[in-house]
Amino acid sequence: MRFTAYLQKTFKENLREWKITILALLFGPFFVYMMYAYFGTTNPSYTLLVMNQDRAVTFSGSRLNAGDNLLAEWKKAAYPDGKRIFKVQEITDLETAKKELKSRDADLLLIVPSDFSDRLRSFMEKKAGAVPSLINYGDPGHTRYLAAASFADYISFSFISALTRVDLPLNVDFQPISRGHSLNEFDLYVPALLVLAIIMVLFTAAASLIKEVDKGTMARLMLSKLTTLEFIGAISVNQMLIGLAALGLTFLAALHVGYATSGSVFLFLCVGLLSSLSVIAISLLVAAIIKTIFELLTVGVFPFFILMFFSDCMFPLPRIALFSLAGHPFYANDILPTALTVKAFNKILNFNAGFNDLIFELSGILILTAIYFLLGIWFFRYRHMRVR
Amino acid sequence: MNPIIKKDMELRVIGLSHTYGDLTAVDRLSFDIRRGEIFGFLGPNGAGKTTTIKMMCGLLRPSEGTIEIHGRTLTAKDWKGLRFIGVCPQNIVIWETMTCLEQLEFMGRIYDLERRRAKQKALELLGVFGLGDKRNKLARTLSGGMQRRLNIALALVHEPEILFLDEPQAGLDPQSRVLVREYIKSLAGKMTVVLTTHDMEEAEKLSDRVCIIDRGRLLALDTVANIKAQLGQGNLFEIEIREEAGQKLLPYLSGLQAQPGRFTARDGTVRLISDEAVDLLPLILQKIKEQGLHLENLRIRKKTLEDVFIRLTGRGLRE
Repeated sequence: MRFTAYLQKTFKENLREWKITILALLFGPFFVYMMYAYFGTTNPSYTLLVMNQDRAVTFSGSRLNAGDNLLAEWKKAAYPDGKRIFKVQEITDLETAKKELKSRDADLLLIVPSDFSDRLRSFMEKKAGAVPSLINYGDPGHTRYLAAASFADYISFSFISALTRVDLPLNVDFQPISRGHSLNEFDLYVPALLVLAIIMVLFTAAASLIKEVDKGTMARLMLSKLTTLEFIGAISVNQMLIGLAALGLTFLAALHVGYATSGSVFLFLCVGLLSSLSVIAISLLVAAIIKTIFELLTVGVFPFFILMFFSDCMFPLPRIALFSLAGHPFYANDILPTALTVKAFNKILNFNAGFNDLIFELSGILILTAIYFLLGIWFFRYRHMRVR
Repeated sequence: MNPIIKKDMELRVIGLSHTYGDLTAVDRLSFDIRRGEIFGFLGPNGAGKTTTIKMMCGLLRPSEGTIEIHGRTLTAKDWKGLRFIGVCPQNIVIWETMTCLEQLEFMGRIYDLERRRAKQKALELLGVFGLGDKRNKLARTLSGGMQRRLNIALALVHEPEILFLDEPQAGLDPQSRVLVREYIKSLAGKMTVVLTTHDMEEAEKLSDRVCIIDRGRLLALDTVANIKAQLGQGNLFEIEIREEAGQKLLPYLSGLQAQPGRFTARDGTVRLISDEAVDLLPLILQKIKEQGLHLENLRIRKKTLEDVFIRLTGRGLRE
């Protein structure tokens, strides 16, 4: 009864303090739409600048214009769904092209030299000698450059191989690794964005906890018959509902912009619920450190960023394996249950993983949640619910 | 003044001390509180009142000493959820985003009051404290005075036997003060009330017994009448002289001094507590005239608790 009374109270308070609740609920969907605007939900097109300086030559009585032909190959290169891989722009000014690369308005610049056809002719006549060359400009730190260069190289080699009738020593058969079609950048971000929605519970949960301390009402609760477990339990149930709602809204936003999955929604929600609990456990630790709502909105931002960045929500992190368990490496950032949640969501939603495929991640989240909860309850009680 | 209905002891404090680092906030304090009495717990700012109340409520662990209830020594753990204690803290401690009714009902329920009873008690208290028409208003929308009344009601909803009221009337308008005073009065004999206040008049009107502490130590503990008697018999006679030369007048008045009363002077005010003050008046006036001093004001009044309080704790400002 006390549990129910507190649950009703905290639920009403969350509804009435709607600004922070709305922020928690809409943060995930907002990032989904933002990432969608940046990446789109289909395979990416790369901006390819081409400076074609090649001069046509005569070979076997006919005109050989290899530069133009290669350019045509790049232009027509397409994904299995028919979408063009490159947006090709022919340019003549090298400096302007370099500026575009630096500003990342373009991903790759290829220069076809003036002797491209000539060298190709020599090679075909002698079946030996200097091979034609291409000049490639780009920023190796830019992932889109690397992807564009990879596609461009493959198309170039295939074109030369077909023209010279020299077989490539290696043939690469590109196969999608998931759901029967290729995963794009956005697909890979969706699990992280879903976890980001759950991480926002850190604020609502910690606010619910610390508010009682900040406003002095904790003394009233301490004097009452309400136990620590009833207090924390009621807040946890309420925050799990908020976490689940945030997760659901973020998932719906992803579906809205075209994200497709045939993974188990039930399994996804179970992992989400468990992960919400883990974030609540961490929020207990955060609330134990601070004393006021103001501190939550200042100092509390730091653990939020730690969770956000070290859970692989924003960008890939260097992998530091601590140990391996049944063939599963446990990385340094896996001590954050949300990092394991990103992996679990990725497996479920992008690779149709079932329960058995998730035992490592689920066990990890479960164990870490239990540890964080025990630590959080002890520390919160020690700091705020102790008779000093 | 309400008679103490039951003389049996409700709460006993024995050698209670509490230190914050080097500061001894409460220093070997001992007293007992009787069942059904209104116990005025007085002291200047920083005297250790709130610290003592916190220890009596189980919110603060004593550095030394014990607290007994009905003869049983309590540890901090024992206090958790003791239904018979109600606390109204000095600051307004309410749930701002809950309505008045919701939070009173909630308080009842976390003290295991059956839901219907909790609501009934909540409505009753809202009526008593003049908040009936605000029952469905969020607490944050109430005026400061209303919030303070709600603060008191929150301490009462679970029907405690011992009620701690830490400056319940601070910040209340005169109407609310009367309402709260009347309510506290109505509790006499039904509930043990420990009342701290800086309003000596209020304490005098309400308290069966008064305990005055300063710097964590007990200075006086008795009924108001007995404590006032410590200043001596008779009324208080005050002469204000414009020249602020009260001290100069003392030697000329000393010859007139009636026993056991005595003259005291501070700045321009000379005081005498005596049963014979009226008889001495013509002689005093003559002495003032002889000295060429200008009489600003002259009063004969009853001694108040504040007089005793100032005598015991001094006039120096506190933190």
